[in-house]
Order: sequence, then C-alpha cells, then structure tokens
Amino acid sequence: MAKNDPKIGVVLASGNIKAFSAIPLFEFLETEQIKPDSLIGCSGGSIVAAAFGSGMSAAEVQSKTHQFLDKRLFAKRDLRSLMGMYNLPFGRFNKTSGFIKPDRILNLYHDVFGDRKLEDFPTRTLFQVTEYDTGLGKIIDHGPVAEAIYASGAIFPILPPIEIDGTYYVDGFFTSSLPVMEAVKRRMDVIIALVFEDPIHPAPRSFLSCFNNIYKMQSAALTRYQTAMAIDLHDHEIIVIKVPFSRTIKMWETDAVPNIIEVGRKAVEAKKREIFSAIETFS
Amino acid sequence: MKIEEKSINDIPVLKLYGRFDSLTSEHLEERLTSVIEAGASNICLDCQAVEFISSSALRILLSGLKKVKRNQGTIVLAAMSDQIKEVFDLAGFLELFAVHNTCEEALMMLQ
Repeated sequence: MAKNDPKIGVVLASGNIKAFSAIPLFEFLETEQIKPDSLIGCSGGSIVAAAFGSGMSAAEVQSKTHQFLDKRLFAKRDLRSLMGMYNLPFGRFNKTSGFIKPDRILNLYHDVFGDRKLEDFPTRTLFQVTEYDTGLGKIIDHGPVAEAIYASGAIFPILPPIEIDGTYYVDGFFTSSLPVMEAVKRRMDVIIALVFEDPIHPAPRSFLSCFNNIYKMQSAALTRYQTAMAIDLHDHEIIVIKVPFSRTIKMWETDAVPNIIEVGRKAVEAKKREIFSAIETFS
Repeated sequence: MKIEEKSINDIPVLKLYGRFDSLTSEHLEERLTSVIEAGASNICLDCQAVEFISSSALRILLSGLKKVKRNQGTIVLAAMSDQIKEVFDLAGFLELFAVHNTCEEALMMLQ
C-alpha cells in the first residue's frame, strides 16, 4: 500500500447470526485486493471479525458457519441462576450468573481459534465489550481471542459475564452496538460499517421476543447517536451499509445461512461504488 | 453536482443536484458558508434532486447547522427521496435536522 493510501477500517455491528451477512463484503474486498487495516466487531460481529482477522478467507469463514450456529451451544441451562431469578431456595443470582452455561460456547471459540491471541492476528482485530462494574464501553485489543469474543457477545443475563484480568465484561452492544467511534479514534480514513437490522416484532408473545424488541430499539438509538458523533469527528468517509432482514432470525437457524449471505450480498453490491469513491477521493 | 440558490420571503433556498461526496462537498461548504456569512440564520435545503450524499457532505451540513444555531437559526431539509432519507437516518442526522416533505412546508415552518 502506498503512503497516501487510506487506512481502511471495517466495523461489524452486533446482530448474532446476521453478522454472517458480512461475508460478501470480505469477498468483495478480497477480489478488489482492498486489505482492511483494522476490523472492529461487536457481539455477533466480533465472531465474524475474529474469523477474518485470523486470516481466514471468505470461503473458509462460510464453511465454518455451521459450527457457530449449533443449537446445542445454548442448551445447557444454569438452573441455579434460573431459580435465583425467582428467589427460590438454592437459587443464586449475582454478577457471575446467567441462564445459559457458557462452557460450550467458550469451547467452540477455543476449537476454532485455539489459544491464539489478538495481537498475533495478521489483521488488527478489536472487540467492543462493556465493563460490568462501571458500565463503560471498552475495547479488547489483546489477549486470548476465545475469551474476548465471548465477552463481546455475553448478553447478560442470558449469558454470564466473563472475568478477564480481574474485570467482568458483558456484551458490547450495551454500550456500542456499532463501534464506529473506535474506528475514528484509531484514525481509519475509510470506515465501512455494517449494521444488521430486522424488524421489531409487532406482537411479541414470549420473554425472548419482548427482550429482542427492546434490544433492537436500544441498539438502533445508540447506533444513531454514536454514528452522528463519529461523522462529526471523522475527516474522510464513513460508509454505513444497512443489511435489512425481513424477519427475526434465530441464532441457530442454519437453514437461513444462504439467505443471510444473499441479503448481505445485495446490500454490499449497492454500496460498492461508494466504497471505491471513498478510497479514490482520499488524499 | 450543482447548487442553485434563490430566496423566498428572505429565506435562502439552496437546491442541491447530483452527488455530494468528499470531492464535491467543498463546493457545498463554500456555498453554505457564503449564505451564512451574508447574514442568513434560517436556510432551506431542497434535496429533491440529490442522488447521493456521503458522510463528508453530511459533516458539512452539520457544521453549517452549528453555525446558524449560534444565531438562533436552523437548517431545514426538504423533499428528500427515501434513499437519501435512509442515509440521514443511519447517520443519526434525522434527529439533528428538521425534515419536511416539501420546500413549501419547510418554508412555512421557518416563517
């Protein structure tokens, strides 16, 4: 890359399985030999950012999607935490609790990424997390990958926080579901930010549907405020790509993967000219 | 990219045409600054013919908004296509600017 080439940052929002719709963006970048200087993910976006940051190709990431979308990952309930929620005898709920035991998810991340550390990745890769005790948004940019990805997606109280170096972390979505400000702070010139949207359920009839609705509304509001601030502080182009889904997609809907990738492909296709233009007009 | 300027009831109306990106936003900045320096506090931007607007052009609009706010003024946006409105929405700018369906509506609000 020549000295005056722009630094490219790719930001992937939270959005669980929908974050795999970013695969066509990376295919496009690979084809055009545009190499991102940093990848910043939040929650589901962190899984995809980690996969590409570790050096996997778009085809390799696509071939691994089924590993990340296994319903059994979420099947081990923590009965003590569930009883604790209702103050039942033998129940317990505190900041280390969660309805689902995290072991299988952590094991999966260890299976895929081994004991690698973020600083060893060929592309700078960062994860948005939230510090449980202070509520502050933080970035994990070093240390073991598996624990950092888990932290970025630990949606408390469904999943318990994770302790890393004495600090408890939960899902980055609580503080910045689209961490575009981090890309501005890291002086990325062209920032490509993918945001994954599915509709608010009009008549939620379960705890999860209601929870998801609030999750989406909070996330959308935060994203708007933080993107506006990022645009104000930035000095070149931020390209926000909305990947719109027509319905809610469950975490383990492996059958939906081809459609998820197709939706991403269309969204990226519509923004290619803008990406080229942002790169070409950088001086 | 082209910008046409007119005045309706002493309110400057800038009609924007075409694509606004980091190359062309400098021109937008010049025109906006010149209108503000000429004493305008309220400005209407007719966006009907805007085909594309990038974040650098949005930044120019925000900078203009900050300037007119100092004089208790505002910038209103009118006649945006759905596509351009979505760009403003994703950028969080719909909450910063008043947006109207037509220039007439926007001017009525300013008066």
